[in-house]
This record gives sequence, C-alpha cells and structure tokens, in this order.
Amino acid sequence: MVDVGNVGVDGRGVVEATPRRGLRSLLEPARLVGAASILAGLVVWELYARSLENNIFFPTFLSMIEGLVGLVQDPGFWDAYRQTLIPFFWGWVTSMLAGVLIGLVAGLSKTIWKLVSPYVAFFHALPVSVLVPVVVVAFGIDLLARSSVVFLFGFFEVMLSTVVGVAYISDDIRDMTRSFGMGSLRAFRRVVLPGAMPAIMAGLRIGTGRAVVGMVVMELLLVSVGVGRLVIRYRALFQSPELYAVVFTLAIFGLAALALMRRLEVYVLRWRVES
Amino acid sequence: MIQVTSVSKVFTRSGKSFEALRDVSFDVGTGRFVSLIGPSGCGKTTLLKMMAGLIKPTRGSISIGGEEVTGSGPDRALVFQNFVLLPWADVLTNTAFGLEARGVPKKTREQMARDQLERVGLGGFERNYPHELSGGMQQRVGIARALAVDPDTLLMDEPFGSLDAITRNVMQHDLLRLWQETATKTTVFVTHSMEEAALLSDRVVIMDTRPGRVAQLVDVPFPRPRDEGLSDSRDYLEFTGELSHQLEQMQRIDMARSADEDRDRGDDD
Repeated sequence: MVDVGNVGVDGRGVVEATPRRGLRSLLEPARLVGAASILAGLVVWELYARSLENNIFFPTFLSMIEGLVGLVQDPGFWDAYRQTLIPFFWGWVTSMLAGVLIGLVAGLSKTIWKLVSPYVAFFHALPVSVLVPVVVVAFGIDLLARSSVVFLFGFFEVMLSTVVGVAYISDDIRDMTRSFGMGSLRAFRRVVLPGAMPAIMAGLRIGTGRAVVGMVVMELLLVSVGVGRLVIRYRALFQSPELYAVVFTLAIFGLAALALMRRLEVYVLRWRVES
Repeated sequence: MIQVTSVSKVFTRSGKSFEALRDVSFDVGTGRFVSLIGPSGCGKTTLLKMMAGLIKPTRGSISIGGEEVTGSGPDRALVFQNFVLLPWADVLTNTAFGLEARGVPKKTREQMARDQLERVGLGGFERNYPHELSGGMQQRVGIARALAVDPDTLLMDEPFGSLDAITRNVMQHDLLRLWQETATKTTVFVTHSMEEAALLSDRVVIMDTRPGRVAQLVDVPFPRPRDEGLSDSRDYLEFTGELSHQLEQMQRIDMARSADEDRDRGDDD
C-alpha cells in the first residue's frame, strides 16, 4: 500500500501530502534494498580479494579501510586535499556564477546568443580534457591555471542549461505577462528567473559533478599535485589499500557535493509538485 | 465599444502563408457580452489576441473606446484556456499578478486579490499552489486575476474548454452570476459550445474557416438577468439546437474540405 502521509484539508478536493521524514525514512524499502545491495557488493569484494593468491593489485575491503584510517591520521593527506580543493573552490564558484549570468543574458538577448553560440558550440563539442594541456601551456600550473581547468569543466553545462531554461518559458506565460503589461525588469525577477530556475538548478548540479571531474582529471593528466599526486604515488609504490582509500575519499567528496546541490535544488524548487 | 473593422490576418511560416482571417468586421457594444464561436481554425483565438494587443492585424484595425489597439493595455484583461498560472507562486500572488505588474503596493494588491478570490469562491486557498487545485479552481484564479485589475474589457479564450462537463456547467453558471453582478464589463468570449454562448452572451458571432471569416451575427433573445434555469427552458433548447446544428454542418463541410485537400496533396506527390 502506498503511504501518502496526512491527506485532506477541507474536503474541497485539495490534497496535502507530507513526506515522511527522519529516522523512519531510513527504514523505507528502497533504502533498505540499496543498503543491502552495497553490503552484498562489499562482501563479494572482500571474498574475491581474499581468494586471490596475490592481492597487491586488488586489496581487500578491510585492508582498504585500514589504509583509510592510516591516511586520515597523516597530515600529508589533508595537505593534499587542501591543495586540490582551493583551486576547485574558485573554479567551481566562478563557473557557477558566470554560467548563470552569461546564460541569463544570452537567453534574454537573441543578439548576444548569436554572438556567443559559435563559441559555445565549439567548446561543447570538444572533450574538455583536451583543454587541460592547453591551459597548462598557457597559464602554467599555478592556482589560476588549475582554477581555470575546473571552471572550463563546469561552465558550459551551467550556461547552456540556463539559456535553455530561459528560452523554454512557455509562450502562454510570455503572453500572460505581456497582456498584464508587466515591465521587463519586474518580469525578469518575477517570471523569467523563477521560470528558468528548474533548468538553472539542474545545470548547477550537473556542472558541479563536471567540476569535480575536472579537478581530478587535471591532477592526474598533467599537474601532479594534491590528491592526484597521492593517487599517482600510491600506484607507483604498489600501495593498493592506500590507492583505493584515496579513490574512495574522492567518491565520498563527489557524492557529498552532489547531495548538497540536490538539497539546494529541492529547497529552491520547493514549489514543485512532489512526485 | 469594440470596433473590428475589415481585419485580415495572414501568417507566414517557413515560406508558406496561411490566411487566418479575411475581412472580419463587427462591433461589441459597451457592457455587452459577445461570444465568438466556430470550428477550429476559424481564427477566433487570433481575433481575441488581436483585441488583447498581442497580435497585429495584417490589414484592418481594431479600436476600443475609439482608440486603435496597438498593444496590451490596462483597460483589458485576458483569461486563458489553460489558465496560465505561475506554478511557483501561490494563489494570492497569482491573483495579484496583474496588479503587481502595475506597481500596486503589496498590501493593497493582496487585499484586492483576496476580495476577488472571495468572489470566485476561493476564500481560504490564498496560500495554496496551483498544482494543488483542480482545473476548475485554477480557472477561478485565472478569472479572479483578470477581475482584480478591474478592466473595462474582459477577454476570455475558451476559459472552460479544458474542464470536464460537470465542472464546466458549474463554471458557466458562476460566471453568469459574476458577470451580471459586475454588469458593465464589455466581454468577448471565445467558445466551442453553442449552449455556453447562448447562456452567457448578448450576441454570438458565428465564424467559418478557410479563411476565417464572419458567417453570421446572431442576437441572443433571452432577457437579463438570466439564471441557470434558462438552460432548461424550451426556447433556449430550440435556439441552441438550431444554431448547434448549423455549427455542426460547418464543421462537417470543413472536415470534408480538408480531407479533399489532403487527397489533392497526395496526388501531387
């Protein structure tokens, strides 16, 4: 049976459903199945790794956890993360801001869209990884260069999504706004911005994911610093548990970043129909 | 008074032109309720949007109160077939939208919006969101939004066209009552239903297709104030029966013609 929470307000056909929250939600079937699936995966991993004669290249789950415990006590690990996250932060924030701003302008003005769209088409068709050496050659490997790479990874997704969000506000809503004679500044604030918001938030979420990719790709491909350097070093030294542990922390970081954006999205779009 | 004078409209899309309206003329007296009715494609919605100032005629002109329509204006308000409420704004904000467009301060406009919501029977729903309401209730918000700006002219584009039959009936009767209370609002009402047009209007403009044009102007003979009892009376049934029959004929001819055209196109290939 489907639980719809508290139903009914006043018998005039309005249904208000309150989603279940808190501890009970952890016991929902979907979550239990997900948790069981992960647990099963870990058990298979552990058993398979143990069955190998030589698990230098494929550590057991438990040894990875051991490696992880060692890592978090090592100041070098945190230094590496600091080195990685500072350019990530700048690249990420600027790509989100610039993406939304330029996207809004390009979405509102056909002329500006015509001016920027060839560039957008070019950069969007290009695998962004290819730009990493270009940026390094042009800017070196300092903070600016590394922030730029993260920026390039995140920016186009956010910008394009914003342009589409503005462009796809329905003709009916435009007609309605026009028929009541709303001025363009007010219409921007009250109609265009909220109308484009679902697309903008989706762009921010996907752009964040891509910025995380950019951060790691750059460090692995060219600039051996930060977390990327840890990965390369542990690989060279055949310290598989530590190698896996670093990868594991990157996954956690990526998940946390996406979860944060999801939260933000749900909050900003709380007017949307819950489904 | 709304004067439609020899209005024609030709749309051009990807090189092909389509004649939506040809030489349409009629008047709507001040404070009168006039319905535009006809088969799909007769240009009735286009004509309404011209009155709203959203579309310009290719030839001819429309004037309201002696002034030619060149754009939207505070003297007119539109009600849309698919409601067109802002999904991110609650009922009160939606109802106050037209007032907000005019820069009415928040307190004042929300009070005015509340009054209108009360009138359309939606008191208590101010903080609900559109998706929480049924179609009929959403259109009540659409009507309240239009009435809130106190327009001289009310333009309604098949406002009940997407509602189920029962809701539709209720809405028609409520609009009849509401309109008669408000009395002096000149109203142009686009519809597909002759029953609806006859119940609500003083005059019906029957339009035909290809190109869209006026086929017939019919004055509705029933005195006001009317009430929902009218729709059971013998005179009403005869009147709407006759006109519905005519309308149906037009629709059939139109369908036959479009079938012919499709066949002709098929021969060309």
